[in-house]
Amino acid sequence: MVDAVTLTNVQFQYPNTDRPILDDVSLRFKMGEWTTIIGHNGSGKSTLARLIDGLLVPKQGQIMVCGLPVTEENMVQVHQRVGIVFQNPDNQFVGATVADDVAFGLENRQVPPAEMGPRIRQALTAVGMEKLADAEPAMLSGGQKQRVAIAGILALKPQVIILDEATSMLDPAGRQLVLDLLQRLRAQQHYTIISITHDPVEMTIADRVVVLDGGRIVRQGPTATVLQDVALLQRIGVGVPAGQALRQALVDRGVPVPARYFTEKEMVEWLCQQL
Amino acid sequence: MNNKIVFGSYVPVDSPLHRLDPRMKLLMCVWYVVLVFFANSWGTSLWLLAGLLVAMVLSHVSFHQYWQGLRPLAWVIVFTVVFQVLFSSGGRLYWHWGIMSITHDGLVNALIIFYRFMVIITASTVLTATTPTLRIADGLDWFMRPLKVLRVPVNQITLMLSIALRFIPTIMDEAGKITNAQRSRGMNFHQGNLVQRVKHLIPVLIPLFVNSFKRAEDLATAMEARGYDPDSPRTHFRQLHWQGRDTITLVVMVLVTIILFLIRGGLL
Repeated sequence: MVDAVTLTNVQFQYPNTDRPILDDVSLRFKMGEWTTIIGHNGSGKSTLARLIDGLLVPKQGQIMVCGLPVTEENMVQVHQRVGIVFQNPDNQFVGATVADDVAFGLENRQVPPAEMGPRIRQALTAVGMEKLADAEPAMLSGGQKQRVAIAGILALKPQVIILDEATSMLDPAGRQLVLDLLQRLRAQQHYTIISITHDPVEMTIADRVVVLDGGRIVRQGPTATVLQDVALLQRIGVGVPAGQALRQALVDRGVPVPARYFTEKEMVEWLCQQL
Repeated sequence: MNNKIVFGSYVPVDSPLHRLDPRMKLLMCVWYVVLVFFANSWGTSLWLLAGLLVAMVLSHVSFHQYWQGLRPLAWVIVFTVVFQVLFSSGGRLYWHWGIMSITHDGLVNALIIFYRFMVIITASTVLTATTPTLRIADGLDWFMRPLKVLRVPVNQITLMLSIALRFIPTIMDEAGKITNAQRSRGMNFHQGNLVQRVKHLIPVLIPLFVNSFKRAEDLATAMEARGYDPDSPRTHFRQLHWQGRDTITLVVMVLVTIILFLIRGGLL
């Protein structure tokens, strides 16, 4: 099976900077897998997302999306296969109403107008926003706008969905709604999800975690393995998931806790057994 | 501010005028404005006024709401009318003081200008009160299509227009936030003379501009990611449907015009 996204020895440097923001990065994202990318601000996470979608061109190396090289000629197909949800809910809302915004991508793809109605309805139903199809952006909360952004992407039937800190500007309730939605999408197994985040909850949902630091991959592996390394998480300045934080606190106080990864639920179960 | 009608804002009610095609309404409004300049007598002026009143009644928007929309412009109208009365000359002289005088022609000119101002502004308010801005943009897009032959980027212009309209509330909101942020730092916007007050706006405008540029850049990236290419053709989700009632309106406009010229020619 072809990988959803592969990066081979990718290097990228912004103009007027003295060192590359990404240096010799090689990564593979399997079809249907949910990967979280974590790292400092300025570690190159967002750059990575933009490179995958062809919004930036690497200085060196090659990027493939579903077997298709990301080049100028393939840009239309690449944009079709990869959808990005950006950080600021307001700055990616193009349409004057919810339906118009979802239509924007379809219009760009020259979908016939008769076909748009059903596709927009279907996409809005998938994110639970069908009742607000005629609402204006000023009337929506941040979480609702991000769900519309996801609907706009789903309407284009992509294979890869990238979330570039998409939940970081939302309130906890809005964030939870978006994460629930993404978990439902993952269950359908049509999408490869890449999420860039600082949020411990969002990290724990992923199948795999990639840690970027100083433009290089310093760790990658199954979520349970990577998140076990509390020292690493603290060093790169991301939140430590609750179960892991509690385990660390117990170890620091001399309580013998098995050296493995605990989700919040597993931690509760383990503690109950000890009592 | 939300419940009051501001000049040019849409009033969401259901009316025969709301249901018309935006192209017809746009055409009707421009057509009417042109006709106003052909009115040269009491008869013709009253005929056009009657037409406007019928449209206002059909729009199901109350006269009170129209007045609310006109009020901010009342000062401009009053000023222009007074200026006309006092500073134009010709005909019989009724009163004068220095360079100011009231003459017969001055009064007639003032009346004509007052009439034109009122009906033209009201007519455009009827258009904007019954048509959402986005639909007006769609209508404009259609009328501008022939310009494509001259390589005018019609699609880009209308997309630009609709994005600008969509971001007005967002940027207003942001201006409010920045104003509050500066207030919390001790800025008093209601102090000092005019020059000082204008100077006080600088710490609001600069962050507003910087943020708007950042927004624009984010938006451009998001649009590109969703496959926008300014040079490629696009389809349109919102389709305009010309219906029977639009044709009827067109016929009515033609009749209004014919009757106007009959009155003007002294045949009616």
